[in-house]
Amino acid sequence: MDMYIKSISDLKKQVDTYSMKQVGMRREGVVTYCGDGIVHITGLTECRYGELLEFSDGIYGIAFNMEEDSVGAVLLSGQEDVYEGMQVLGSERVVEVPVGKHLLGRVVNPLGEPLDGKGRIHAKQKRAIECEAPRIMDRQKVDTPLKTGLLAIDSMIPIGRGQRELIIGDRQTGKTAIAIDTIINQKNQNVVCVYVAIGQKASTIAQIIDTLEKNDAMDYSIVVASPASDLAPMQYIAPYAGCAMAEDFMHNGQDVLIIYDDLSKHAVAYRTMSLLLKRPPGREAYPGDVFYLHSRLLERAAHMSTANGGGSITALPIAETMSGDIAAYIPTNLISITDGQIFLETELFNSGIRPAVNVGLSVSRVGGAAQTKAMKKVSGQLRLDLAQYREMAVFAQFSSELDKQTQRLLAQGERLTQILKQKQFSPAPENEQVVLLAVIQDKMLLDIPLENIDDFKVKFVEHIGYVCPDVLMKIESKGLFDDDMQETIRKAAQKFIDDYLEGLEK
Amino acid sequence: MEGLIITAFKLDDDAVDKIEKKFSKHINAEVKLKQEVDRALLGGFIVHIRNHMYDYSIKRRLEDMNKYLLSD
Repeated sequence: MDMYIKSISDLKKQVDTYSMKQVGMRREGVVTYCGDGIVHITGLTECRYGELLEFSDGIYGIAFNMEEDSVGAVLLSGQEDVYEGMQVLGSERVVEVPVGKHLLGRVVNPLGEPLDGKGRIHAKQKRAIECEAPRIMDRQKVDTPLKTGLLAIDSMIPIGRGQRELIIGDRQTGKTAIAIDTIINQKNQNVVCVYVAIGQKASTIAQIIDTLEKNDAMDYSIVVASPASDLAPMQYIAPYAGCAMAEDFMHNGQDVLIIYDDLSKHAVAYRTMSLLLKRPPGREAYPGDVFYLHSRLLERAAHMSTANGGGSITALPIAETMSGDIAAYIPTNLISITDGQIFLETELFNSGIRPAVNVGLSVSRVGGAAQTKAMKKVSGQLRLDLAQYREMAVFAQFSSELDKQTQRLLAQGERLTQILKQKQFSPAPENEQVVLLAVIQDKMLLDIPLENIDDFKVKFVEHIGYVCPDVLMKIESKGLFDDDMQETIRKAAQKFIDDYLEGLEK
Repeated sequence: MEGLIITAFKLDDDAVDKIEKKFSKHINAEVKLKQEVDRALLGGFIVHIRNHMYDYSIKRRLEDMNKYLLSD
């Protein structure tokens, strides 16, 4: 009721102070050509690059090509309602999206309009979708971990807040699964998540939203969706729109995780647009500025300095490869832009190693600095162990007789691989990861049969939570795992393993 | 400079003359306005001139009000 009265008195004021001067003038043009979502417009003087153009009936376009006496524009929707001779008005502004906390829990299109049927978004502020990346002096180094909850990633390919880590792999290798697991693991971590779906099937997006809802992850998430049925320009602006929403949180000192799923389709959408606008094609028919297309987007991920609020945007772009070819145009571009990549392989995925991370080809260039001391202490040896194991495993296929040491190495590698397997939607907290890794690092699991490792893992973690909760607490609160704590765990583990083996014999 | 004026009702030459003078001064060029009638404007007028639109119609003001009421 209060709001109602306020709006009436407000309205009276508006009427009283209404002056003709407010009306002002608007620049107008006329459509001379339209087709394939591309419009040519004459008139429309002083049009700005990237300006939002208004056609009648809520149809919008973006000015992209400035020529001497015409403007080339792309339509964001409603291409069948645009006709030659139609009036076009310049809006004096670039494309903007609503930003702020009202977007949390919502599914929106790249223009910030709701798609979830939950009513209007009461956002007070708007932000231009294209925006300059934070300057060098406004940033600081990445120093806080962003925990994915996936043991294989948190231990060997750690991601820090403000980092850009590419998730790359063939279709059906679990790329999106890693991203979704990471979002789910941000619960109670005070991280806002933005999931940008570009050119995906609407059914897939619906499924992802459903998953997020079931895991209570929508409360702190925004989904920006541009399904495959959208026009290419709409898909093209989707990641920038998502990034603008993320930036607002970052500039308010919040930590944000943004996922672009996926940038290969984004590049394809941009290629479609560019070719229709008659821009010259380059390698794989992509336009010349396809590198800049992604670099200017990913540069907007940052860790702001304390003076600037200390917020961050962590970006997890996803790229799809064709039969493992990471030397294609878009994947190489993205690899060189990002601070590392998580490479997923079909072969690993099909042999049951999930997440199907290829540890050899995956790196994180800055995440190591963000790892907690506890994690660093127990994960240092992992990569080497796995590499040795893989080398030896290939070699061991040819000879049946192996010396004791090699057998141990193989057994250790097999167990490590098994421990690194993790089911979807079951992120593990850091302290449990540390304890598990500590035990495997001490080569204590060699006596446990391989087929019992999964069972052991569950029971062991539960047991440790029961007998040494103080150690777990300390890892969580301080990020420390000193020698005393390690000794406590070692003793508890030895006792548990002995009991466990005894139980197996019976 | 040729222009177009759209009104809800037909204007007499005097009124058109006045508007032409105002616009001539505004854009610094002699303006000649052609008349057109569109009842949908309800009142007021719209002038199209040199790639610009000057909308002083009642229709648009009502639309503005509509937009204002629906916004926060």
